[in-house]
Amino acid sequence: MLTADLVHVRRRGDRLYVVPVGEAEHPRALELATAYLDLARAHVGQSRGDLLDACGAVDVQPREQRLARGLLKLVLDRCEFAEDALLDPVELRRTLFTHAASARREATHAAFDRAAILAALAAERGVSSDDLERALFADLTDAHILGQARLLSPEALLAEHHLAQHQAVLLRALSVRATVWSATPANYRHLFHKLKFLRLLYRIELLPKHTGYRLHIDGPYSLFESVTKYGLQLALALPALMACDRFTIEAELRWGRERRPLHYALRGPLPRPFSDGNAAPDRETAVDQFPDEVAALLADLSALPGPWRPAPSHAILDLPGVGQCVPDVQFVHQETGQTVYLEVLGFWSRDAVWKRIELAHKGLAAVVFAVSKHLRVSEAALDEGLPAALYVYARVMNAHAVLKRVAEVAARTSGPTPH
Amino acid sequence: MTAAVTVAETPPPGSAAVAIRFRSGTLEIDGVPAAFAGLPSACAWDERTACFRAPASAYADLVRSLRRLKIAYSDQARQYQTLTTGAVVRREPRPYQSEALAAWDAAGGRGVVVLPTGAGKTLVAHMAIDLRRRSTLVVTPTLDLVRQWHDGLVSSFGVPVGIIGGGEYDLRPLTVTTYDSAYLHMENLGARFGLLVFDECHHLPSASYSLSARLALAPFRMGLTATPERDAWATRGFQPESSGSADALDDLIGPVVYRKDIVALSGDYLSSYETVRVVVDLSPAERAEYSAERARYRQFLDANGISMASPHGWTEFIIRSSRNAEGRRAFEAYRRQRAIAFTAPAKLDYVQRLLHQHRRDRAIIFTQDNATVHLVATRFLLPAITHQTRVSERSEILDGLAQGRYTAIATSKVLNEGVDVPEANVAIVMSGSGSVREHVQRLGRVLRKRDGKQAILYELVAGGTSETFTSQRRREHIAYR
Repeated sequence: MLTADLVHVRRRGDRLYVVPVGEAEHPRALELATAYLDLARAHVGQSRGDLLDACGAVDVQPREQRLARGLLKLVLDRCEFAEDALLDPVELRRTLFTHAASARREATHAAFDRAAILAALAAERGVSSDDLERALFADLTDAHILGQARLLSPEALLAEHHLAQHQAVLLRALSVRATVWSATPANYRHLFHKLKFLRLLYRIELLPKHTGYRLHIDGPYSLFESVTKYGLQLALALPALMACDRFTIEAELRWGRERRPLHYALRGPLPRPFSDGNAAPDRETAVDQFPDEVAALLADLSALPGPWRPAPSHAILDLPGVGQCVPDVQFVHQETGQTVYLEVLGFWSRDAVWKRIELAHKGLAAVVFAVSKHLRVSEAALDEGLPAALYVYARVMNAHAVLKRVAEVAARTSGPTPH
Repeated sequence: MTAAVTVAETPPPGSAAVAIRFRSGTLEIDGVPAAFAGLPSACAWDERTACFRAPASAYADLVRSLRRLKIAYSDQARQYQTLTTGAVVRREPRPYQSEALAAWDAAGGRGVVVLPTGAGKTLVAHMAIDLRRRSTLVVTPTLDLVRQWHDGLVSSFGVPVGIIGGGEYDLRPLTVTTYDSAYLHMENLGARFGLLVFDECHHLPSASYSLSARLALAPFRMGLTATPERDAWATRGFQPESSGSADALDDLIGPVVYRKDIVALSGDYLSSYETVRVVVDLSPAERAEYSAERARYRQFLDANGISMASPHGWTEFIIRSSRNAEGRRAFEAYRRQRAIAFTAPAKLDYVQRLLHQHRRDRAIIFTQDNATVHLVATRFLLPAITHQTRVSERSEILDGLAQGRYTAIATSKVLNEGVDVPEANVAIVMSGSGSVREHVQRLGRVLRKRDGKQAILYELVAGGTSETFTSQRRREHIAYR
């Protein structure tokens, strides 16, 4: 990730803008990315100091300094350095310096015999004096050896740089207000999973016409004081927000040494900055289709007669403090307007099923959870009295069986409160 | 983990089970209805999680409040232990140290003790840990103080002591960390300690450091300082966000519970000492190179109207020198002329002479930068301490110097503050800044009182270079007159 000083930003009034690499600078940016990636590739087995010296020799014009340092930082982040473990430097230093202190104490003149002290210990360790000297400070960062580098193509590195600039701005964010739109539930699930993993908290609000959601994301302590403490987590959440079909992000920042209050906004999908190869391998990609089994079930359900009209769901059912459920399908009763949801958990995980059972016990209503029998969960795990049900299926989901559970749940439900 | 404490007298309002949980530096209070108004003012209803929430630092108030209201609760927040054993070595405290502990205890185990440098603040903290016997986190400004506290706690309590910081993460009931690491990790550590000791606590009121105090639930807190008023801010050129550091300390730790100034404790605390200034000459070739590089650097400053005497001179130089090739060359010239002065061969030869002369003493060689530290360490085969040296190795090196296994060590700025090596009696300043404070601190490293000790500080200056002026500036202290 980039640090705030490596981001190219422009301030206008109380707003901060990230300046992306433009079309005109793109060829030169590509050259720099290629140079650093090639040098990293060529320095596997050599020291960090040597790699940095080599990278320092790349000719960089003054106006390119920030871009170059940013690209180099991202390349170094992908390099794995380790100590050369032939001799333990700490033990070696302790022994050598103890010997040297003894020799100096006994010396009769100032020029004590450094070479002899080194040679004696080198002989004891079965190495040359030169090797011994090399090993002496081999644990210093610059002496670490480049073991492997998970390198990208130059184009992918530039795409990563593009994302990293926005992430680095969020490092100074107090909170993020995001609006997200997604055609499928998978992106929402991924987003909430990410927020939970990062230990962020949020308030959620359904947009008018039920087209998307507005989230206010910050951390537990933000309730008492606006702090930049959660900036790193907010930056790490950015890819999950960007994975939605459309998004807007607004953040209040404390920028620079003076911690100047600034406003920052981003909307997407971002224009693809470069014409080809712009997807970094570890970019979180949007899921823009239903899984096959859900699509097949929807087709089967649509063919069945009856009062329940199935449709892809865009709802998020949230129980504050407990968790949320992002259903795949919604069933609306044509006469009463009552809605029941279906979330397909499939082969996912037993833990996820138990989490849904907890949600149902704590008040989540009007939901059927479809679970593969491979997860070894009984339908009886959810009490019959609750307005939710488990549907355990063998190989593929049966539309009739699903509709039966939907009708049963509807009979036990007074009405869900989706966001 | 099972609940640590349960007090049950009458059921809580509207719920059979009130639970307090530690979540990322805050307390979640489950099972209390949103409309309930009896909790302390630090608690606020959090719609995001449908429960009350409070900063972890409100833990003691919250528990007292629940007890007062006779609300049964399950304490799943507290994760600190009662220590099964106390100190195994107890040094006889001076009267003022006992008074300080008594004042802190009388204040409910929260407050700041103000004592001058060298008066033995550490012992007061050891006595507090022994008194309260709770898992304790000591927070210090530097890794060297981490090492010093670590060694002190090991010898007083006879148990392994954890370290968090400087590349180490070893969590134990007694643990020492830095302010930086505390800020990074308190979200996870905040429930693990019942007593927090903030050494040099005048550092605490900054925006980020103070947050670490608020994210911890420790009911007992002790601050140690010689200067609770945060004068250090002024010298760094910026102001803390909090309006008053004393008020902030009151909020984060507790009030000043004991204060004695240096006059009240005056006595013979320092060793006698002398300072020796040695001017060494550059060779003709070095002189020529130095002059050429210095002229290039000065020319750039003049051409750009940069005054290094102004508070923003250095920042301006950095910004302007990065803008074009001429600037980068000027910056290189600046570095080169400094390197010539810092590591002049004549200086290194003189260091060799001093090492021989003091081969039965304990010397600390101070330099301005890490490159010179490693040069000295490699050339003279001396242990080196820089910011990259791990705490365990620092301990070993300083212990080696104290025991006489080493007769000299090299370091840059990291030993300037607070580190205690009473056996050290020779300081060799090879290079340094013009800071009077730094120079006095370096002298202070060899002034700890020992019977019959005579301390000496050598200051090596490359004659006819900018070091001459730097040396004059840093000697503007009464200690050098």
